[in-house]
Amino acid sequence: MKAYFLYKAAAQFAALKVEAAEQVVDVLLQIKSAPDADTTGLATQLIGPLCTANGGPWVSAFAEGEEVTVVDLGEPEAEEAFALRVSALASADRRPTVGGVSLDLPTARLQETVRILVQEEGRLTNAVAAAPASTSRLVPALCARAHRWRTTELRRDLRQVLEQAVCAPQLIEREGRELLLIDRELLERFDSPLSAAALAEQFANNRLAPLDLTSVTERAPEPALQLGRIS
Amino acid sequence: MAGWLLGPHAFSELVAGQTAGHRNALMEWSRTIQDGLYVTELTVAYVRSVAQLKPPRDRMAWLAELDGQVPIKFGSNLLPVSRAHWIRWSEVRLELDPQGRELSFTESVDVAVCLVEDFGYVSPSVHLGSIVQPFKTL
Repeated sequence: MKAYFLYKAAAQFAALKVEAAEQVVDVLLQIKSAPDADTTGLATQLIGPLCTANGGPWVSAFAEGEEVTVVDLGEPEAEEAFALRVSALASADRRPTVGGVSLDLPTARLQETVRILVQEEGRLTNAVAAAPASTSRLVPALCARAHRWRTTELRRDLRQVLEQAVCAPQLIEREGRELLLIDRELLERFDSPLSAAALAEQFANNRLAPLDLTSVTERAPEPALQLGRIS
Repeated sequence: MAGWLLGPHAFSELVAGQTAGHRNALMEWSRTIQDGLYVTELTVAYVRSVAQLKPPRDRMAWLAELDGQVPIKFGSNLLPVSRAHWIRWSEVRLELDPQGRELSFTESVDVAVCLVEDFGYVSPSVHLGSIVQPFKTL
């Protein structure tokens, strides 16, 4: 079975962790084996939106014979809207898709293929590449968050710089150049932020004493101008 | 929607982890959603200030988590409050709660961040649901 992806779905698929992408592929492959799947190549079969196991991505797609087109891998839209969208896509001769790739490929290779196709499509149309947005924003995001150091300060405070690099990027200005120092794990978090589920798992083993935030009341800030009090 | 911003209560609930006999609703909900979770540096600082009131051992445990682990685990999802946020904050600061009181400073900044970044907001302050959508209370 061959798979096509709308551009947004292609970017979503390429950005998934391999395990989540495998879940998506499993859903798509089940279409082929479904007893009532249409194999004449004529009718359009709506797929989903289906939620993959263990809180994985939602899959919205449609099948036409031995081909499946993935419409979205994000939050599902209303059924009517989805059906209308599929109807429009299925009736078109030219569709805004990339792919035509076999679902028999290993998942990681499938993701890489889709990612490259999206990049090439982006170059062709001169559009912003639909590659994972974090890749194109990583360096600006790091530099925007970085604490800046001059080399004189670095010599004096090297230990502090190294300690801070674990929690935030550090930018060292040296002879007109900027050197970025950052903990490797932190860099990976900037490049690929954890999903909500993965983040929850990171804290799941904590046993911290609960904080009572209601016992600490915040006063509303005083008005900046006390009209009438200015003498 | 670009993700969910955790208010102070939600953030402290997440970081606290599993406490014996205490159902962590935030953690359970986090496992069901696809969007990312975000928190502002201001919220982290606010929770850190509350942690200072704990007995020494609990305080040290919280500070170690907030100072050492939260930045690494949240990565780029730990947000500084930027000029764009402050400009929006100047517009929402004077919103009133159902009792006619201005929003708390932390909540008003969170609301501004949500509006600028297109986040949903997670907080027990249900009246904020009329300002920020989507809104989640646990």
